[in-house]
Amino acid sequence: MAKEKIKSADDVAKNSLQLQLSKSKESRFENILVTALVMGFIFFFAVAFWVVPDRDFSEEENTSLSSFPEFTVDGFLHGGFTADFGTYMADQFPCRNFFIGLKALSETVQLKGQNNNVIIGSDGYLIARSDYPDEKMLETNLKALGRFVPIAEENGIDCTVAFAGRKMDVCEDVIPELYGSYYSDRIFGILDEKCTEKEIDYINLRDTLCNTDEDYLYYKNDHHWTSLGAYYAYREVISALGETPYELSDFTVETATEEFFGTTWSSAGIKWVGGDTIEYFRWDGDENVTLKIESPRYEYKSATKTEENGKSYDVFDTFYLREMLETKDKYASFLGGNNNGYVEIRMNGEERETLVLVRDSFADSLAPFLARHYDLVLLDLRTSAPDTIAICEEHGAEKLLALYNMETLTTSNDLGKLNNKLSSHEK
Amino acid sequence: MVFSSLEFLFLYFAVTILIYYLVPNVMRNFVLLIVSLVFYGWGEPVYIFIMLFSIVLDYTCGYFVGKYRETNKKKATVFMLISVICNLSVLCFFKYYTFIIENLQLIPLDFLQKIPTLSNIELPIGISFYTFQTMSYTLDIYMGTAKVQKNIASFGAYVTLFPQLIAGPIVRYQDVDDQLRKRPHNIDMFASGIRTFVCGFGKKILLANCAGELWDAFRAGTETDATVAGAWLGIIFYSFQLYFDFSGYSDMAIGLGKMLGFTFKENFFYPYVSKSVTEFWRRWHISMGTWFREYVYIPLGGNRGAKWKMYRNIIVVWFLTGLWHGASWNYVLWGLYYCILLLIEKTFLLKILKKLPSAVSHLYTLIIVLFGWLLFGFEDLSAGMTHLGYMFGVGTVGFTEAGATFDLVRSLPFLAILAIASTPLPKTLFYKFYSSGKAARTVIAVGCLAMLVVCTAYLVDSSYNPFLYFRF
Repeated sequence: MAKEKIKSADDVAKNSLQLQLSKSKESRFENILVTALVMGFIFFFAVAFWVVPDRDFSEEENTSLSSFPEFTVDGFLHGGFTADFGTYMADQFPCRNFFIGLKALSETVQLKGQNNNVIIGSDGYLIARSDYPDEKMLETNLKALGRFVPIAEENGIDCTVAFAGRKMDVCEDVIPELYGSYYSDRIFGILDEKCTEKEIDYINLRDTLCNTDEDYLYYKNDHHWTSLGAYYAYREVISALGETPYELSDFTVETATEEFFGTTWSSAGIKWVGGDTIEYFRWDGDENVTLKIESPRYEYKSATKTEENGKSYDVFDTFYLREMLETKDKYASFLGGNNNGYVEIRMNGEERETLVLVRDSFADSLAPFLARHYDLVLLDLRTSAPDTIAICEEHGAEKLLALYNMETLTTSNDLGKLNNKLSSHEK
Repeated sequence: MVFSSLEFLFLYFAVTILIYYLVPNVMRNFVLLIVSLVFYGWGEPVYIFIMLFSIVLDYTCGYFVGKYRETNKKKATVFMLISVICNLSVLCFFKYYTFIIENLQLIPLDFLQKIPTLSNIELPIGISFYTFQTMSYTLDIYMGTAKVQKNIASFGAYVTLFPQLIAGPIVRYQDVDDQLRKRPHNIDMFASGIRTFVCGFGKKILLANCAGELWDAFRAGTETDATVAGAWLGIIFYSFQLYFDFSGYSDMAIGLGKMLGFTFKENFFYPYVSKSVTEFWRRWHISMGTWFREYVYIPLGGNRGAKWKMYRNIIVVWFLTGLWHGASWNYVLWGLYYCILLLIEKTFLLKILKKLPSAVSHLYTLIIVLFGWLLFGFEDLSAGMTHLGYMFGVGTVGFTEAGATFDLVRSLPFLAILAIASTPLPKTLFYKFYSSGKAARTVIAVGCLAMLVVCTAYLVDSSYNPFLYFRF
């Protein structure tokens, strides 16, 4: 009889069927059970949400979490308050990390092949995908660079430009074959066109890294290149600067950690992949380094603080800030990470030529290699807007290297700041 | 507020259920009124006044319609008309004002150009649903299918009833008249409500949202590298998104209703298994179809009288149905598209379809519906036409390209899940399993919890949770 009713299109009968089944006395226990379980879950988290103290920052996700929204009558009346409250609730929900992992698991079980726009590649690789990055941003950045380079050269500064690929551009072996390199080729094609148009000569580090036989050039779960990847980039860049690169055998590899879970891991929520290994490529004499960070954006515990000309610096005698290995952002152990605007690297007791590096965070792990040849001044334009040419002049630098990866070029207007105070140097 | 949010489940619902079951029975309608106003006001508190206006207006009109119905038909008609006109005016002002003015301004007359368009006015959420719902009260009294509700709190509870306030089903007053006076509150009904709610919750979050995400991805792809496969898959996922979003909301509403002692009618009945467009519309958004039939089609004369009158009535109903879905021409066209197809089926096609193998008539229906959603999905008609072109290889870079192929292949398993979920099979299996014994029912109880936990995970990780009803 029940069967017949299911097939009948009569909605009322259908509706009452569930109810009828539910009403039969045999179901009483299960009815109490489902009510207890579901309502118990809801009430438990409803209470826990208010009881568990708020967090300011999620180390796992490397983002700050929203706090209880400010109440204003106007904001309330127009829905701003309640909208903010929704964000607050999602950010501060108890067991947030568990739930994020569970969602990733659910997506994976449904064979969706990715979660939160991160592709699950082979060999434990997580690859952030970006099909159609912001071409206008790319244009803005290149335009600024195209204006900067000739003026810098007029001022006697020799400019070298290098662009690096993202993980999805380089690690072809681990990317699903069907995804392939279509989108990468596309955006690098556009990059090439635009650079030709703006007469920018650049080193294509994507090609450099693609042409090596190595297979651990990028971290499996962070967007940066590994020290090995940085080494191959170094070879290319230093040759372009007219120096002879050191061979791999000229370095001693030191394993810093095997438990590095980076940015891609955070956004993917896929918690069941293994950690990455961070390696330091040490060389004879690298312990003589002085690393100076101006007004750092992070409170380093191992720093020696000094002041010069009214500016405050954190000073270290190493490239590698091992205290960062205790945090989640372990890549920041290279030069302290954190997009510090101004970083200086010198070797004690040696007078060397200075190379000014305009760069993003990919240069953090590249710098220890370059420092074997030059003293370095690293400018991160994300967090500062210096007069770049004036800085070159101040340090007597005749060489400048601009090093950016595609991610930064298409998401952040860093290079635009190269034009800061540029007109004063026009001749 | 929407059901598929953390603040609904873990704040609003938790508090509401607690208060509702703590107060004595006589106060429950009043509690419902208050909590529903909070629910409504959560997103845009300024619009609560429209709600209160609706309550007072229809309560008063209903009262007088009921008073004069037997004695003075004229007076009753006047009050009925006041209610209908006021309700429709509110709806027209908020939903159609700008649309009407913009279209009038296409006529090159000076004074028309000077009328301001209030394009910054936000549509009060769910206005299309609740104005239709409240209107049904005075209309039902007028037609004698329901009694006057003297208790304004109970009436207010009906108007604002939060489970179906923003996305239906459109509950006619006559269907809940008795329930507002007396309704059962027991664990069996509550548990049944939980199961229905969790099912709807899963449909919305696991199926509709994810299908919507894929639709967006494929559509974004077509903007740069359009492919035939991408264009088809995109619109297919959009079709599934619409169905699961809408029917998921309806299930949640019905489930919540049961938890509060109400029994609402089903709103969707597996529309995608239909074998004709006529059947499709008996299975899709049933409460809206019923509303238009009861309050527009039949009062206009229905299919009685001259043939041309019947055609006129059908055309009026479908024009209004289209327009009800949004203040834009594509919705009107979408309504008329169905109007024409239904008329064709009515005259001869239906007889032919019945003789065809069911696979053929099923495929025919799905294709018609798919193109219907294409019309529905693009407010900008030319964008819709471009997408249609892509589906047939006009302006595409090929059948499928490297990047799109990846999305195509990885979305196939999910597509299979969606297809199966849109048939009655899961429910049939559910009943079979449910009736098979205590152990099975215990598993289902745990399954409900598991489903809720997984959905919560999606909400905590919510990068994608669109609300499709901002146009209604």
